[in-house]
Amino acid sequence: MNATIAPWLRFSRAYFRTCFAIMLEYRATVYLWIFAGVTPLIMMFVWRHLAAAEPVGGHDPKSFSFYFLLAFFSTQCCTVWVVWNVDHLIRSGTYAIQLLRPFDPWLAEVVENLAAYALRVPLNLTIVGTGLLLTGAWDLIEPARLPVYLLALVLAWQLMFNMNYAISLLCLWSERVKSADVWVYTMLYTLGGALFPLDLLSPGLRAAIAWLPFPWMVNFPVQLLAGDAPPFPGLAMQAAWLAIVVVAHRILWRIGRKRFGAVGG
Amino acid sequence: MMGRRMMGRRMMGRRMIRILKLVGAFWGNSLALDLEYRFDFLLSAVTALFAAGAGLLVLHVMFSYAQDLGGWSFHQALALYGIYLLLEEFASGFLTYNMGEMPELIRRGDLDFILMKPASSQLQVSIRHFRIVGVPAYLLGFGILGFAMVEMGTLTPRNVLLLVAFLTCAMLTVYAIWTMLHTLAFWLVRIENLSQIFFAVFKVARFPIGAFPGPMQVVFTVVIPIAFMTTVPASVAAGILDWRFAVAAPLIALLGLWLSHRFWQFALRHYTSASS
Repeated sequence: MNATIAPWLRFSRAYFRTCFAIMLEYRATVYLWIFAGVTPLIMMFVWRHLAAAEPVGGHDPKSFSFYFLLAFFSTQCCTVWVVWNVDHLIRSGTYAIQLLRPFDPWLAEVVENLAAYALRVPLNLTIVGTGLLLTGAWDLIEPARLPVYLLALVLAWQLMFNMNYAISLLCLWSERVKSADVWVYTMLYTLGGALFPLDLLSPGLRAAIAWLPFPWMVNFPVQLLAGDAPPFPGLAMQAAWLAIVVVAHRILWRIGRKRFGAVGG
Repeated sequence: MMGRRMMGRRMMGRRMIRILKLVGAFWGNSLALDLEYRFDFLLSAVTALFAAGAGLLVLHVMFSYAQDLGGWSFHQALALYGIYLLLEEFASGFLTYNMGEMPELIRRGDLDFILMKPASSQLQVSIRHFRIVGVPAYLLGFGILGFAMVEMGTLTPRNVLLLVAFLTCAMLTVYAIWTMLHTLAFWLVRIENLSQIFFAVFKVARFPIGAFPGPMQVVFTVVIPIAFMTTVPASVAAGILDWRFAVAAPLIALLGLWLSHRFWQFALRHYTSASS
């Protein structure tokens, strides 16, 4: 057991250090991309302004601040660049190098993603923390929920990551995978609840989208932390969708890798 | 005296016709190219529908709880959203696609070929390609705008003329900011990250500026003229145009255009072809 995992760990640690060094070199770019995801914070100002006179759907400005600051954090944890990476690797032929390694290319992508988080999350936490302090929404956090909140965030990240990884493998068939990625992010922001709290939707619509993975990636962790949603069925839905996308990309990988012809390599 | 003025006017006219002919040739060329990729057209139509649907859902949710958004009714906000979609495609589709080539042109020194041609280099770089894949987004924008105006009963010939004028001002303002941002490519080679900041700020434009708290309204009017991009043309469509904005909008557009032209010329003086 140990003998099979040890080389994976050794590779991950070394690759993480390389990726982190690269990210650190391009830290300006990494931080600039946080700006690309400020939509939930813009929505916070609009909804707060709407609720200034009287609560909107049971939310006052403070509750909106809490919701959107943490929805921002959820979306930041779900921002992965894997489609763009793999698309570039496959198209430029550099993917051949990944295939030569005795590890699944999936591992390298996960490690690179983690290296980006190591740089990004401290700044994200600073933004969210400052916002919570300024708006006084700090006390809406249910401290006992913190461990299960972290678990939900990790699952949300893995779900988004593996969904995008499955999409990125479609690059082996089609050259237009990037637009599929744009759809996924539109769905994540809209149906995930980064533009409005999902409890403002009509019950019928809400029940309909509950079958999709998106509400469980943004809205669910926020409600979990506030103590407004129970850990189940949320965690179960996350796990089920995670299993589906992982199986999907394993199948795509098995069929698709034979199609790779090292174009332009 | 008379003669010279006449001649000047005729020169001006000839120049305009030349520019129009040039644009016609450019766009005919890119159309021929785009027809090769019919699947892309379908894909972009679906993407545009997704994005517009998401925005409409947000408006729907907001107005199922609130009577107005910064003093704007549902249909007024809808008209504004239509205009936002038009300008969004104009900036992120049309201008980015054109100006996105800038860093490469500079890095490789290919800008030399453009500078050698007897036409404005800024024009050649900024509006060379018109992509047919942008058409679905424009149609959706115009459709939503038209629907909202019919519902409000503001679709009169006078309003349409005013709307064309103020939409032109808005497009020129977006164009000016966009080209100035991309002209920075002469000094900073990686520009696509900088444009992310513009996109983040531009997302604000899908709501009337009245929807934001006071200090932010000032920033979005005076510092970054977001208000002149969507709020002003939309208030024409809604029939609630404020005369102060009506005066300021053309001035801002012309000032922006002049600045972007001066900045482009200033940047060209710093360009020392990379190839040689």
